[in-house]
Amino acid sequence: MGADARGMGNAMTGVPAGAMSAYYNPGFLGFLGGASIEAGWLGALMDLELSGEGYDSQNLGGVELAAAVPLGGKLSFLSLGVAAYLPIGPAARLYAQAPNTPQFLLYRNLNRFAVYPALSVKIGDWFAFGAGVHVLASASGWINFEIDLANQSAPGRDFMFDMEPGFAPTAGVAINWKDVVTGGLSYRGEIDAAVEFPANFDLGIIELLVHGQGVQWFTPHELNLGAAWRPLPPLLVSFDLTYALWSNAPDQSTQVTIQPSVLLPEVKNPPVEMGFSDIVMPRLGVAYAPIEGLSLRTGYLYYPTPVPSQIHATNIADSDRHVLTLGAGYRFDDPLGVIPQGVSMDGFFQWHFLASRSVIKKSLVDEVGDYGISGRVIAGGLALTMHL
Amino acid sequence: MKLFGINGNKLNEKLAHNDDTKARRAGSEKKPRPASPSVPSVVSVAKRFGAGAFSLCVLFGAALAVLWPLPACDLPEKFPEFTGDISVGPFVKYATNPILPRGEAGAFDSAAVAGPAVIEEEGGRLRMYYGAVDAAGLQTIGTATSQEGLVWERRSVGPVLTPTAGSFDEAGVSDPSAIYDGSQYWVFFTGWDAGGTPRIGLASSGDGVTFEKAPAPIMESGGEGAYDSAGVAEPCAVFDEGRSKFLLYYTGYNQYGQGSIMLAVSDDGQTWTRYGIESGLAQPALGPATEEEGAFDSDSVGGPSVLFVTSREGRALLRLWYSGSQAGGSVHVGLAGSGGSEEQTGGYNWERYPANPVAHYARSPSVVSYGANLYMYYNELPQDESAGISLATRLELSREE
Repeated sequence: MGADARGMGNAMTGVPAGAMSAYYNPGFLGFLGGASIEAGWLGALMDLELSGEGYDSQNLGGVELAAAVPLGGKLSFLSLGVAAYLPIGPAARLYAQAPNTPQFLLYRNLNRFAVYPALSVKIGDWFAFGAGVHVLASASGWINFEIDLANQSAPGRDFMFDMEPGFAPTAGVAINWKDVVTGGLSYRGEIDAAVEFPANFDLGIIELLVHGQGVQWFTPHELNLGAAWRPLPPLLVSFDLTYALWSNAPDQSTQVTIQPSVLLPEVKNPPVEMGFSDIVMPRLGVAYAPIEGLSLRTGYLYYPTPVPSQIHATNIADSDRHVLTLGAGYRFDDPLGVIPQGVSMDGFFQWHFLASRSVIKKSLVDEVGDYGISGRVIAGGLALTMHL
Repeated sequence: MKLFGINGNKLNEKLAHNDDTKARRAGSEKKPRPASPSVPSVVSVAKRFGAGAFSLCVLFGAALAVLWPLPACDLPEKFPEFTGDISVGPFVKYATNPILPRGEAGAFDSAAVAGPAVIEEEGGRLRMYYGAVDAAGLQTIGTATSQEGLVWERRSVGPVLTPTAGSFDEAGVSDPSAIYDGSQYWVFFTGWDAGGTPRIGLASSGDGVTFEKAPAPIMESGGEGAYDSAGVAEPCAVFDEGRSKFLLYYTGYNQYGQGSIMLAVSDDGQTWTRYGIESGLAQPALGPATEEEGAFDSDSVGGPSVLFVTSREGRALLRLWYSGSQAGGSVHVGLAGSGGSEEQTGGYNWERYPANPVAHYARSPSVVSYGANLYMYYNELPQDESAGISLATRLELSREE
């Protein structure tokens, strides 16, 4: 979240990130210089390949909005912030394939509506903590069809579908020593988007209860530790470590059970064990201000894949990812004088490189066979922040 | 801008006029001075504030307008599926089978055509050798060619291989298997003696039509108790470039008539040694699936067709298509896979495809890699060889094909 953060390799757990702290570390909302509103656009073009064959991935595009305000008066120790991502196109797409179908699962269903509201409490001059929630839509429903085969009609066509928000906690603590050394610890809870769909087809002579359910999107528990140092006033160096509990990842496909009312065998496909591993991600960010108002940023992050070698039946394509980032921002006075603390305009560019990975199947008659994984993702965006 | 300009000029004139008026009212002797630049005129307001804010909004708006649809225009409705390993999976039978029917009345292949073996010649032409039976029941081997694998032109003047009186194949020749090394054709075949015992013979040719047979079989039945004690037949010979050896897969019949697929190796294609000998007996490379209850090939396997393939990651693999049957059941074609020459047991240890069979009611497969597809020539059941030789492909052929 945030163009300035993305330019710094997302190493923002230990750095005040303005309103975007609601996502990175709610504790840093306690060190807001003032209220701010941020609006930005971002896009990501994915070029993912399986054995050199292009894989038509879901590109990303959306708008980020964030706002934060320190409360005044007797509540001056409190700050509020909210960050949100609004995708271009559908608010969420939950698409799933059987796990034996080759797929870049972790690059799918990312373009989703998400909101991170948070509250921070500042204690003293150098310490603050915060907490919030991650809100994501989930869905469930049911179908009840009665089909009269003799008369070729469907007298019963009941249908219900609920969009239900799912919640996961976010929390963080932040320390700030004279804006020279800052640090923080943040947590984002595991959250998934699950769909459940029982359907009853009454065909007269036979009744079929079809129950489909599954988790189509998942992010793990994440624990982030970050620190930043400003050795010179214009230079900021930040470093993050994230521990992500990917071992909890479920089978992200749809499990279907078909129960006929008569003596026919039940059809069932139970979830498979994904076998993902927990990972540790390092992130490094540097920002330099050669002149007042201008900020040049760069960063690097390494995202080791949690996906084990797919030598058996599943084919979840992923590999270690190296990400180089660049960014720039310029803060200037509002020429209209409406925005008292000025306006900043930020841009970022990220180049994600998926290291080549070879999958050699254990079975000599695997239907998918051996394949290689590689890819690139190019992301960029612009943001406008009004400092009120 | 024009409106601002007009209004601004008028306002400037008015301000200058006011200054002049004030100066004259004060009785000042000073010359009238122009309007002070420090006084914020409408023009300067527009330039300093309005234009700045306006261009800021325009810039951001234009950037959004241009960039917004870039990723969104590429949202697929459905993710494409990655094409699996072409060499693994079921075959689709061609709509207008058989592609090589029996010959006309009186021809050497008028009663049956069976047991095809297809190779690719230089220039991409396909050549098929097949077992032929005439109206009198004489078994010979004929040949046919095709440019695209669908329309075949048979050499109708006569067979290319015939039985030799007084030899191991005096009762008939059948089940050809061919290797073309760029200059020489090698055809391995089953030779039947008068007692009905099959052996494997070899013939060679420079043009693929005129063959010279080796006088003796290259593979005889195994000893008593062997898996191939009752006869050896249905050869499939391939050259393993990794090992620089010829591999000969064949059907070995035991004393109960049960078939197993056996393996022999050779350096020159003429002298063969059985592979996988344990306790003095050659073990099958692939025997009947006796341990798997209800398997389609639990009683007998045979008629091998072997193909070298390379995985997308460059791994050498072997594919074996074979005929299999249950006791009293019909015959279907199954698939097994093995490692290549890089593995010590490559070509000998085979793993069955779990979703077997890959072609139902079919026997005597010959699989050839053709373009991006695999073509399997086989005999359709229950019509069997009386109907002719049929085609099935891994990827369904389009109507144009």
